[in-house]
Amino acid sequence: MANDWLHTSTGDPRGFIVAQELKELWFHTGTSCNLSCPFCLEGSSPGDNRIHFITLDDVKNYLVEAKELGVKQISFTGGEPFVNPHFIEILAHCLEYFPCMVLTNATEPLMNQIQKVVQLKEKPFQVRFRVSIDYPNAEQHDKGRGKGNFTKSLKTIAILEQQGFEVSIARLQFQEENTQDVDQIYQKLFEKYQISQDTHIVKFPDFDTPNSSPEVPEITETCMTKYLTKEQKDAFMCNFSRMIAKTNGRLSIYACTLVDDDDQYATFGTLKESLETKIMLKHHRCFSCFAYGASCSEK
Amino acid sequence: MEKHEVIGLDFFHEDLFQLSLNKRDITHEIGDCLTLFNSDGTGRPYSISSSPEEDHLRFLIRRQPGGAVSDWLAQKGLGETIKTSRPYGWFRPGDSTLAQTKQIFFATGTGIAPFLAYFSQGNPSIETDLFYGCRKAEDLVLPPAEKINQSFIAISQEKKTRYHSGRITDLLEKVEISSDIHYYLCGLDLMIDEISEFLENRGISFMNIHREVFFHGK
Repeated sequence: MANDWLHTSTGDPRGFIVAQELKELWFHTGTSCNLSCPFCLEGSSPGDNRIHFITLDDVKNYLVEAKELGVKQISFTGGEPFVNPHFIEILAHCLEYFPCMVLTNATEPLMNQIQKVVQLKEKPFQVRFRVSIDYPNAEQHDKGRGKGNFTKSLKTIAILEQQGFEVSIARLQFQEENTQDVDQIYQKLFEKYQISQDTHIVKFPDFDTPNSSPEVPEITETCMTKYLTKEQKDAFMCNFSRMIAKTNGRLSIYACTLVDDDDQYATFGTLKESLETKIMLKHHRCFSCFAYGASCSEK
Repeated sequence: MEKHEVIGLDFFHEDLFQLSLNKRDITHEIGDCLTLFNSDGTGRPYSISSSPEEDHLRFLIRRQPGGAVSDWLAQKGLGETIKTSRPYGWFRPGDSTLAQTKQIFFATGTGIAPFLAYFSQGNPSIETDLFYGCRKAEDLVLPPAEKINQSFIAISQEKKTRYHSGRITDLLEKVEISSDIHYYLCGLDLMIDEISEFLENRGISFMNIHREVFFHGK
């Protein structure tokens, strides 16, 4: 049986996406993190170097082309971006040209640098933050992220909002959940910590850890045409975004934020060239996008 | 992954030691950590206790019972190599970019390490008080007294020492409270949470409280 880049294990043509545009450019700041959460999508931990710290010069390589291609937003993920020693200067530079979004755990690395972050309010464009609050209670959240981090993150969100920053939160999407009920539990939490009731909540399914191989259904070309509408296909991140990450001292362009553990999704040329590359939906996380419409972006 | 040679292993007592590594091309800032890896590839982060100007790297390490890395490090010999990460960190005692007239350090146990790095450089430009708690007097690794404005030391598991007998948090009424002061806390989460709450309850802004919690996780 085939089971290669172009074909599923049954020999059917694999489903794919060809990007229509580049609206959002992500930078992976590095897999070093202050936390060691066992479920981390990126396998991040203190000092982890699977993906290296990105530098300001690395980022500058792409910003001119990003502007030419019409990128609307620069986003950052990690690791914990604020662990990267270059991150504040990278963010300050990007905010001269683009609105930015930062995915953060909102614990010590951000807390300790919040004065410098507040100074970024003076930049021409604004930065907003997305903070992971996996569960709406300290017990479950801290079980993975470490004792006390639930409260820290919520307090930091409140401070960021008081300083005029927009913040959203990312939570786990539970199987067969009543979304409205779960969101209401979060809203009670927001009230307790003096966080805006309008705070946007983004939900994510369990994506599994890097280099894992969970058994998920394969996506064929037929699946893409039979089960998805054009709007659903357009919502795949690889349709409108790319991510830059630095591995082994080299910058690569990945199809999305969730496939950086598979070199088949990396290209090494320009952003424009990466958009011309057909993205085959082979990674196990592609199925999450297919089945749940998951996306790291906030369109 | 970096590799550094062991150039010193000095025991304060059986469970507390200072590891010195050659520096090679590493540059770091005060408050940075390195993750040190054992032969199985298991890593633990340790704060660097030497200043960036020194020509080697020092770490203050408590040997944890059954610890995967600390126990392994304690048995290394001179000239052996240790794999490390590159430096990283977000805790910056003496941060010159902040408008601070004075700073107060709080440390428990080996949480003194980043402050030792700070005091290992030239004379501090900012007046600095130190609150430092250990289990026993033999655990104390004191910075040079002339570099500290006032120090307050607590020993929690011994009674007859020259220091306060009890926890560091017993001494909080001696902490100077001012919006011009920055407060740096490094050590166990319980101490950090308690002191943070104390400071916040006295009107100190979240932005003036800098924390380095010993890592959690797997």
